[in-house]
Amino acid sequence: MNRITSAMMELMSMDELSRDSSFVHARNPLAKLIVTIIYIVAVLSFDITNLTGLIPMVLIPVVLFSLSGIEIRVCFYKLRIILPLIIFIGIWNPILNRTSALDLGLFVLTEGTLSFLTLLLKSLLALMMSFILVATTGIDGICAGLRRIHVPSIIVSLILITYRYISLLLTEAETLVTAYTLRAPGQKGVHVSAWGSFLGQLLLRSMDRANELYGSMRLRGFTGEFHYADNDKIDGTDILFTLICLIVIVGFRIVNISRLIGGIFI
Amino acid sequence: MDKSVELVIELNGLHFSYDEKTSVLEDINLKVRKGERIGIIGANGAGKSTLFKLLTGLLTGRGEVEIAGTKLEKKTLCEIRKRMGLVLQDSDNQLFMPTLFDDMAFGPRNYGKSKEEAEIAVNKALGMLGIEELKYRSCTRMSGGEKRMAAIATILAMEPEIILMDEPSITLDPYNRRKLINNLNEMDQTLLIASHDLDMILETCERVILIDNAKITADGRAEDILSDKELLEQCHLELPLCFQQAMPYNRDSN
Ligand SMILES: Nc1ncnc2c1ncn2[C@@H]1O[C@H](COP(=O)(O)OP(=O)(O)OP(=O)(O)O)[C@@H](O)[C@H]1O
Ligand SMILES: [Mg+2]
Repeated sequence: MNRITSAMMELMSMDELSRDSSFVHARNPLAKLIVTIIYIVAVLSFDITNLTGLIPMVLIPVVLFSLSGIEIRVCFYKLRIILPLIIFIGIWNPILNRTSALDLGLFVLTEGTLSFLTLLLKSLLALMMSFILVATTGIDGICAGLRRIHVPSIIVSLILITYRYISLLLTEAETLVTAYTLRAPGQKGVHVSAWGSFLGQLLLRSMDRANELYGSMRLRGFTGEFHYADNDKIDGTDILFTLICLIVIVGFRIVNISRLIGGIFI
Repeated sequence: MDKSVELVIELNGLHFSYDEKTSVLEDINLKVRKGERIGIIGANGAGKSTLFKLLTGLLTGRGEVEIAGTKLEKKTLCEIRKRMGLVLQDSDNQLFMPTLFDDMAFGPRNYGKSKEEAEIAVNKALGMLGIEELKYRSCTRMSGGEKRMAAIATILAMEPEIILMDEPSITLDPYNRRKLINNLNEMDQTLLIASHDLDMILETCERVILIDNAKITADGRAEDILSDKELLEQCHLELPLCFQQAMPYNRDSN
């Protein structure tokens, strides 16, 4: 439990990275938000067996990572808690669907395996791109961007508060587990008999704290608008950045680059 | 009371209860003049924190609350909160941004300061408390006392006219506590401090309000109330150390 919570905490604190400065950090939140959304939509829209078409899409997050100065390693390390989930979701495909898609002689690539790999890559890419958005913009910047494209303030506040609430819930869970284990030495995990009160406590405590935190935000002038987040004017570089990214994304989506390159050699 | 001095807080017949049954505060009447420094004392659960939440509109009770001549209502909340800062009793509930700098800039930015102006206010508050080295630290990774200083800094950066502090000196080491007291004494804002640190109250406040049994039982000069052994003991408090007779340390005496 404690290892899981600390891994989750680390994930939730990824926006600490947003203090660094780099070309990507400096771009307007709105520009990054649009690029990320379009990218994720494009990635998800690939056919489930179109692995070759999807592969070039890897380039975009890789380039953004290197421009931002954040190591891809950090991203995977922070995401380590989610990765098994993705594998779990797709793992049934190779077992259930054994139709052959590509016969390589020694090794037959089934449609199931192909769709599993595609699914895995799609989720990874979407996660990597979301990661770079949060890590270079910060949750408040993203919310400011969302407000700018007129997403209702109640929804944006909800996103912000949920994000903060999850961290709170985790801190409280950690505190409770610590308090429990200190008084239940030699016991592994929380005994079933305590689960009910444990969960109840966790919910009440984290809700109380969320309420206090929200109070503290309101006391310092928060009304659902994000004036405080870095949301400067969109400049020429932002527009150029967005345009180039969009052209590349759409290009990769329409033209199957892998096949094109393959075609040169065959 | 001198009429010419501006009243910044006026409470008339304030009642509050969390559960409709037991009153936490009953018939509270209070007038605070501009620039006054008031210590709010009382046992655990007396209602000090609740009073602060009522003053800032986080809770609403029956009765009237007037801040700087404006009645506290839903539509005046924003304007009133701009003039008032509250340091919460629990620092963890006060800090929510990724770094202290962001947290401190949050208030000023919300109230319309530009990025540069906010940074100036932040640096000023950091310098005042002498915690410049915490500027870019993550608040979740600070020690208890560092968090306390950070929470106070977030309010100072807003430069409010009225500052409410709930247990400001809690978890501070003697050095930081002393620095805080010196800072409080240099400020010209109206100050309300709720604390069990009666020595700090004695050093920083000229007026003390004692809450007991949901009511204000005493309201007067700090020296008078804080030296009244009988009154304090009735209310589960004890004389400030500086008024206690210097006695040789004796573990068996009580
Ligand atoms: N959220 C709440 N719900 C119900 N009752 C509450 C709540 N918060 C406080 N109380 C009760 O209200 C009373 C006053 O609490 P308050 O926190 O104002 O006391 P306090 O004077 O600040 O005490 P302390 O010195 O311990 O900080 C207490 O009896 C407490 O049990
Ligand atoms: Mg309290």
